[in-house]
This record gives sequence, C-alpha cells and structure tokens, in this order.
Amino acid sequence: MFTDARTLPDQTSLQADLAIIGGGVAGITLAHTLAGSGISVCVVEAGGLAPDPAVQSLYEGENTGIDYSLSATRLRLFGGSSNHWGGYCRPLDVIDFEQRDWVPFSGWPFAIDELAPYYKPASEIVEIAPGRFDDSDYWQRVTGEKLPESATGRLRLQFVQFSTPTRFGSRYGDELKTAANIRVLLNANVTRISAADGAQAVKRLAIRTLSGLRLSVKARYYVLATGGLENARILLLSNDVVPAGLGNQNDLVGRFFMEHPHMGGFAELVVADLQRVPKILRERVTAEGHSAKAAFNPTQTFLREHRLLNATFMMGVAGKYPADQLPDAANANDAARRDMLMAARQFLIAKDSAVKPGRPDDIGAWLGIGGSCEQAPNPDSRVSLSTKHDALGLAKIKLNWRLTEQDRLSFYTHLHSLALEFGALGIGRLRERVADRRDWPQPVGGGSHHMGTTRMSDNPLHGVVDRNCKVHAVNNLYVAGSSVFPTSGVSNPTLSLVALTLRLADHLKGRIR
Amino acid sequence: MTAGRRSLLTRFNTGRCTRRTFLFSVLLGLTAGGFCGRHYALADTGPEPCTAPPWLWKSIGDRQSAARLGRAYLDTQPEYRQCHALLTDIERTLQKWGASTPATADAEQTASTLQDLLRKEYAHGEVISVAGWVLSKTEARLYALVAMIG
Repeated sequence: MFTDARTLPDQTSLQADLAIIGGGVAGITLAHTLAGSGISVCVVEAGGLAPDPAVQSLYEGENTGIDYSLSATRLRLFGGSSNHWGGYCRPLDVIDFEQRDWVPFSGWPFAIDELAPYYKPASEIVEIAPGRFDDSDYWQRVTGEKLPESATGRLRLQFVQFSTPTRFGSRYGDELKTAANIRVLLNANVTRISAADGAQAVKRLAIRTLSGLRLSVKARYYVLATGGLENARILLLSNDVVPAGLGNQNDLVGRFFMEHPHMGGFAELVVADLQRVPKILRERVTAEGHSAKAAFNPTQTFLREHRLLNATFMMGVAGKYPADQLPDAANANDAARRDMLMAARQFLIAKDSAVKPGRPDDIGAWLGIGGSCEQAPNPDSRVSLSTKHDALGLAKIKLNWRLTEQDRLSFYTHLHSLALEFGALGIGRLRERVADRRDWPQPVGGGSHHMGTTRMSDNPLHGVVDRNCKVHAVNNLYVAGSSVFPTSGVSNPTLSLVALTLRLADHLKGRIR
Repeated sequence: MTAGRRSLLTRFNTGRCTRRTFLFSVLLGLTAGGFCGRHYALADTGPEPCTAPPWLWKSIGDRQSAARLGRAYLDTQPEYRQCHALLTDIERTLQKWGASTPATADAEQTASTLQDLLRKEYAHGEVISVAGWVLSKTEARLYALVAMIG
C-alpha cells in the first residue's frame, strides 16, 4: 500500500513490526525481500513518486572541505539515488575486507566469504547476470578476442557489469504497493529517531511533512536506510536522550566519510593500432545476458608489496587520427598526441600485425581514461550538523570531505603502473597530467558514493554498528547502506550494499519471528 | 668489448670521443657519458654534430615528431646533449638486458631488438617523463639522438 503522508490526519501514529527509514536502494531491497513474509513493514520515504524541488532542497547543506554537491549527488524521492544511478556493478575485492597495517582503521569484522553468498541474489535485484567479474577466460571466449596478460605484475583485468540501470522505485514499486504486509509512507520526513530513556531502544519515529503535519511510526525494529550522508545526519539530529546523537556515545557518527575520488583529464593514452586494444577494454560488450567492460585494477600482490590503496581505471576512445586529416595547428594536445604516435609508431605496431608501420592509413587513436581510487578511512573527513536550518527547521548537513597524501600517492602510483603496462605490452604511450605533487589536481570529484559515516566494527569504540549492522547499545535499531562500510574498496558500492542488505534481511527475519 | 658494442660504436663515429677514450673512461670508473660529456661540455657551446647510425631510422617513426620529443627530453637532461653519450647509454642498456647486437646484425635486427628492449624497460619501470609522456629511458634517448642529428 502507498500512502501519501500529507493525506493523513495530523498526529496519526502508525504501527509495524519493522520501520524502514528511506525508500532508496537499501530500503526497497529490504522491503522487497520481506514482501509476503508476514512481517508488517512500514517504509518511511521523505520524497514522493516524482522529483520535487522543494523536497530535494532539504538535501542542501554546507561544505567546509573539498567542494562537493550535497544535493546533486543524491535524490530525495521514492527509489532514492537509483533514479540517477549509472548501473556500475562489481563486488568488493578480498583485500578490501582485510585489516591492512598500512591503512589506518581498515578491516571489516568479517571476510568476503560472509558476503559472497549474497552477491548472486543481489545481482538478480540489480538485474545483472551473476558472476564473471574476474573471469578473463570467460570474456576471451565470449568476445573472441585475446585479452592482454599483465606485463608488469602491477595490474590485472577485472570486469564491471552494468545494470540497465534498475530504477528501484519503478522496478519494485508495484510489488510493494500490492504486498499485504508493506506500507510505503510517502512525503514523510523523519525528523528524529526517538529513543527510550537510557537510549537502549528506539520507541518511535517522529515524522513531519512539508505541509506541517506531525506523524509518528512505532515499530519493534527500525532500519535507517537514507544513504551515507543522511544516515549520519538523522542520528546526529536524534539527540533528545544522547546529546551527541543516537549511537554517537563514542563520537563516531558522521566521521570517516569516504568517497571514491574521481579525476577528469588526468591522463590520456595513444595507440597506433586500435585493434590491439580489445573491444571490451574500450567499450561495453554484451554477451550471454551480461553487459560488461574491463577495468585495469592493481593486483593484490602489488597493493601489499607497495602498501597502497585500491584503484581502478577504465578507458574509451576519445579521438582518431586518420592519416589524411590535417592536424589542428591551434590544438597543442592534438599535436602532442600526433607526435607521440608518429615517433613511436615502429614500437607500437605488433611484428605480426596487418597494420604496417611504414605508411599508415591511420596514425592512431587516443583514449580517455576514467579512474577512481579507494580513500583511506579518515576520522577528520566527516559529516556534522550545520548551524543553518532547512525548511523543516532541522540543522542542515555540514560536510568536510578530506583526502590525504596516502590517497593521492596511491592514485598516482597506479596511474603510473598503467603507463608502464601499456608500454610493456607495446600497445601505447600514456601522458600523465597529474603532477607528482602534494596537491590534488582540480577538479577532483566523487562518484556520488557516500560511505563510512556509520562504520561497522565489533568494537563500539571503533564503529557505530556491529557486524549485523545493529547500532551498538541500541537493541532495535539497524543501519543499511554503504554508510556501514569501514573501508570503501574501489568498486561502486551499490551491488555490495544490496548484498549487505540481503544479509541484514536474513538477520532481521530471524529476530522478528 | 663484445661484438655488439663494436658494432654500434664502429657504425657511429662522432670523430670526437673515440673508442679508446670511451674504454679509458670505463676503466677509471667514470661513466662514458660523463667523461666524454665533460669534454664536450667544455669544448662545446652548441649542438654536437652527429651522424645517424643506420639502424636509427629503422627504429624511429617520423623524424620530426621524434625530434620534438627528443628536444623536450634534452631540455630536462642537458647532460645528454652529446651523441656519443646517448649512443653509449643505449648500447649499455642493450647489454644490461642481455640484448647484445651481434656484429652481423643488420639495421632491421637492431630495430627489432630495440623494440623488445623498450618493452622490458617499461615492465621494469625504467622510464622518464618527457613532456608528460611516460617513456622508457632508451626510447627517450633515441628521440634525443634524432634531435641531435637534426
């Protein structure tokens, strides 16, 4: 059932076994999994079924660190940020779960084995064919193209799969609308998670509409699933019993904010013979229900030996240089690429190639490179509350996103590895535009991946939630989504947060029954 | 001296830094480039006149493009503004990677050997930045040689 909160009488109080705060990827995944289970569920969604500027403006806030759009990187409507999701799917890597002595605050409470069984059903939910994320042999077979093997030992090929992408609201909305045990409450802003005395349990959710109604939802269990920024904000706003915010006795809520730093125009690659770059490296390939593209990621051996953070690089053809096309004299980059291709042509044509080095029909092509890297957990990179207030009278979010020298050095080293790899393969030459200096080049952006602000640890001194995603010391409050990631890895978080939510659903089913 | 070294040096005669001078500098523990280079640095105020070894044009693509990259390299590595130093370094690198050039090797073979050498250098991180391009050191020196020859 869908209910517009604005149509309910003021002071209405609803009841359910489970209240899910947020109807985005995690919230809908959880509700979808519990549909027909006999567990009554109330999904409390702040937005409606369509974008509304007044609602979206509630996501605006203040930046004190790296410039970052708090409103454009997330969406406040049913389906949440899946409504602008790019569809990139890849599980986290084995090393991402490990405690690495060179990465402060690293280590999940469990290894990837704990999450691995959930990746297959998670793949179904995001509508991708399962597996084949690291299977070069498979991709060679189905594409009919030989893939390069690492010539440096620094990088390996891994594969990203693409969802259509699934828009969770439209994909699962009808199911939730007809499920007898599910109520979706729209346009309902949770303003406070009210705890009982002692803050050992949540007693109700205080809700307001932009039209001025005050409502509440009471449940046996609560799951906070409003995204990696808002999860922290709502806990901090819920300060009626614990002044620092619910679950924040150890000053951890909002800290350790992580993104995947992305940079544009930091490097380019030139190749004389585009046929030497298999298609799956330069564009999406469809095979047997998969839509996939290859990425160059560091080998785990290299990461360990050089004590680096994870990273990923993908590329696509940005331009070609037919031999009969005159160079653009005013374009210095164009001239530089042509010079490189023409000078190194003998070195970039395979000895057995049909392309001849002597008189080229095509000089070659240049490829743009997209790259992002893991960000080391950093307590000073954080979400807190602003002194400014939104239309509901609530303190706005304040973000201080910070990166460290360790992040920069890792990215730069892996970028350099990419240059070495293409040189060692005899395929191309790479031009770096990231100077090896301490400043991050501008613009550095993110991937709209908000992680770490309610991090997971078995030790309450080091994490907001435990291994089951339950808030430490609060018996009936859980957190779903990438805000619980203690480390970010480099994979886009959606698939992993869906897997983690499915694991949470199993846990909750056991507890609620 | 190996046949390969003899091959390269006898094919490339600057007329200023002789084989004997080169060997003498090695015996003294000096880099050949440094010793001969000092000589040229003292005597030279402009580019050293060079003659192209025959294998060079088999290895290099477009000369003008290579020369532009070579000049960018020489701007940051002025100690290599000497043909003999560049050639000696290229030869030494060939030997380091076990890629000697037999006396009988023709230009085509030498070019092929260089192609393999460059890939090894990339694999082992033996690179230098030239105008932002990450180039194997030998590749950069080949372009520098082209720039010196003009």
